[in-house]
Amino acid sequence: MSDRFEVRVPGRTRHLGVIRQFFRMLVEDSDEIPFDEDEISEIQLVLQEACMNVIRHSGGGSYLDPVRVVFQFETDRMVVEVYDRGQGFDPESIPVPDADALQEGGYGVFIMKQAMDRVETRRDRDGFVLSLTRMFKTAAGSGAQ
Amino acid sequence: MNDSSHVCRAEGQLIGDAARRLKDELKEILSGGQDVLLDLAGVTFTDSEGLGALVSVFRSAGIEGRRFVLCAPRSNFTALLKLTRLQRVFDVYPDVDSARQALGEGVC
Repeated sequence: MSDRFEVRVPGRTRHLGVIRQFFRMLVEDSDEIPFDEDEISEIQLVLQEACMNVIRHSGGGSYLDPVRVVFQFETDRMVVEVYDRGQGFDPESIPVPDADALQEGGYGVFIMKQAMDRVETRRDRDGFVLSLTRMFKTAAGSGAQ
Repeated sequence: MNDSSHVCRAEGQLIGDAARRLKDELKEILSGGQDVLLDLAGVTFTDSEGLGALVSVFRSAGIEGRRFVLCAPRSNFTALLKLTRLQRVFDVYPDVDSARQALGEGVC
């Protein structure tokens, strides 16, 4: 299996539900993609956080420069790529939130790292790319914890 | 449930402006001297910004000497608490009745 899907929405918070539901439609009740409801919920959260980063911090995400997300399904994994034209960021430079400090923000990248097996970045001709990989439990023995 | 508790029902998506509005409303109730029980059964989606708003309310409750409890979260909210490791911060009950009982009996 190697299927590729792409969705673009205007860079407004209220439109991000389209991306979340697009993902759900791709994987729900699929015989080939073994995500259960808990995993779907986690990955929908990751999508929201990644796309909000584009809208908030990256200078992209407008009606002229939409949020673009690509889903690539392989036999043992799903790779999500989130594109923007901003300066980008290094996921490793983002501090881990301290639960005891009751932080009101700073959870976005932490959520991505917790939910996904790989959080990577690169630059290509389309700009900054945030690449998020989630292994299938049946193929990898276990997914992200 | 005691007389100084207030049940709030949130609906829809707890993100962006909606989260900020809810935060302000809940803080106002707390500052009026009431505990707050927030029923999340109607909340279809919450992101980290929405959760941050609830953390802010939780902090205000502590300052006011009141209690702030949550009930009936959907799978999205449960995932959010797990991934942020904030599940041990909030008192979360499966339904309104058990949350009411906990508030009334001073369990939480």
